[in-house]
Amino acid sequence: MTQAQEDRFLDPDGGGSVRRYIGLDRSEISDRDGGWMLVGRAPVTDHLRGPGGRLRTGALMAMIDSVGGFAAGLAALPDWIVTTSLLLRVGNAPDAGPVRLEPRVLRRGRSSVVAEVAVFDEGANAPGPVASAVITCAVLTPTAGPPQLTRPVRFPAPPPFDDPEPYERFLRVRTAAAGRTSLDLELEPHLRNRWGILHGGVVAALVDLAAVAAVGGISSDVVLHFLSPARVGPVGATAEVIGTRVDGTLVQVSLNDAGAETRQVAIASVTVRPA
Amino acid sequence: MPHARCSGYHPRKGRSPAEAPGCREPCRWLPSPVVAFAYPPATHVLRDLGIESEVRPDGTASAWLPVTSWVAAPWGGVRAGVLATLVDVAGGGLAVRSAQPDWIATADLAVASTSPAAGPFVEARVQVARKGRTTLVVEVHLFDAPAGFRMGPEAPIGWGSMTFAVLPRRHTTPTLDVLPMAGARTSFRSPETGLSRPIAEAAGITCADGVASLSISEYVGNSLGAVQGGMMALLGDVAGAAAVGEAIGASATSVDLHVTYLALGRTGPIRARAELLAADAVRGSATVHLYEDGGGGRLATVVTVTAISAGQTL
Repeated sequence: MTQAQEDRFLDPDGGGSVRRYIGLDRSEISDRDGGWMLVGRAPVTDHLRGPGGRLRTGALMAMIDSVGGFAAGLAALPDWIVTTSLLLRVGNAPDAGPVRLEPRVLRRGRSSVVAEVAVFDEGANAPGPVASAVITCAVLTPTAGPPQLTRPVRFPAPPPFDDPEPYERFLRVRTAAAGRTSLDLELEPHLRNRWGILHGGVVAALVDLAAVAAVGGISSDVVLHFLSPARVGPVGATAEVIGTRVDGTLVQVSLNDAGAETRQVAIASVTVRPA
Repeated sequence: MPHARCSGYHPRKGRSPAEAPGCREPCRWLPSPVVAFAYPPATHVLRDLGIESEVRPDGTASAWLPVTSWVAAPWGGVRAGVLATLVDVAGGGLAVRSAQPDWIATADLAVASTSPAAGPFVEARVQVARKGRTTLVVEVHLFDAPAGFRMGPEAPIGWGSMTFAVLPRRHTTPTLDVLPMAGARTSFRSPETGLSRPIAEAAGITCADGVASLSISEYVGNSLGAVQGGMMALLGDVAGAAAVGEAIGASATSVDLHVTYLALGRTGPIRARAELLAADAVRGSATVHLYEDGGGGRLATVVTVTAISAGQTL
């Protein structure tokens, strides 16, 4: 990053604004084998609900990226990770809440970690998960070392915003009108993560918003590949309809960093179902 | 995993490894209009599927598959697991060249279609989305290909992607042309090959007591002696569609697969355990875990599936 770019990374929460906005708690609890398992939990608050009243899929992906990525990072210690892909299958979008996210590391290799995240809607009394995701992370060695952690990890949800901004306003999204095929956001400090780049959860949220803006409805099945970090902005999202089935419309989405020679940040496919 | 492997041609010694024991020269494929591979063997599912592929100088690739009743899903189009196999061939063929001098291993594969391929062929067209030091991602569009083994019209009928881990070059890593000077074609078909029964049956997939399983054989093997990645996807397709079909009380067609490869499926049979996420009158989704029945029940692959009632298309 240049100095000018570093100066833009002024989030007083150290990249935690997104987690505060979604109200995410991440804590390790004892498991049946006497070890620790990470669990995420977040309420389904009004500012995270979409037009159909259920939790926005973009917000859910931000939770999955945060919890699944953190579980992968714990498995990678003393290295750390960066998410490279997120595959999401939504059966029923959470409605009642709170949402409980249970990650399970499936594979820890030399260069990658794979984790599965089961999503439960605790208030809905559904016995099984309502959504399932798999995230793949690349192992890296941060120059400043991994986050300093005390086990078991306890990261309670930050105090909620007194009067949380509406979803699109928080994300600083422009031109997100229904029927539009492109929108963008400025890379504001509160949207960056601890490394100073666009938060993975915000990338996911932008993918969701772009797909939904193109055809209307709620995103269910998502394939998201993080290709390169967005450092400068604005970050643009373009949606293109592939076709329509009885259960929804398949949309492909591409994200580019306009300030970095329109470098491609992410590609995705999203099935958007009627809300 | 890539389907191609060392052809055994050693340019300096001019002999195959069998004729020159101890030879440690890197193997080299020579460019030719149609490259003959040692893999797959003469009797193999990829040959019976009749797949033909092409890698082009502009960094794109295609693979084509004849649409027959033996690969059809209940909605009339090609089974999602077969489309995954096609994507695997097309994506792997491009990725293995794009990664040179390194090698690749498939990490994940996704495929979704919006309408049944009418045929007589279906095409998977691939381009590299990103090539990094440790990861390579390709993007895939599916097309109807009415004109045979040629590029189809510009309206896609589906989308897919693959992620590969880039494996640093070792002395045993084959050397390929990065990209051919002209389109390089590979054909797995021959007059003696072709399906004569439904693909799941031909592959050795059986269902008993609600559990789908796949026996390991050379017919569905990859170049490493494990189950070919597309066949793992097909097993997930079969198990996921069965779980959704049972929930909605009708035959179901998989239309969207996410496949994550964790370990090679070497010790068979491979057993599928499906868990339903949700279902309504027309659609459902499920998570399928594929385990090696031997080898301590190792989890080899995770497949998530969306399936629709077979009578539904648009």
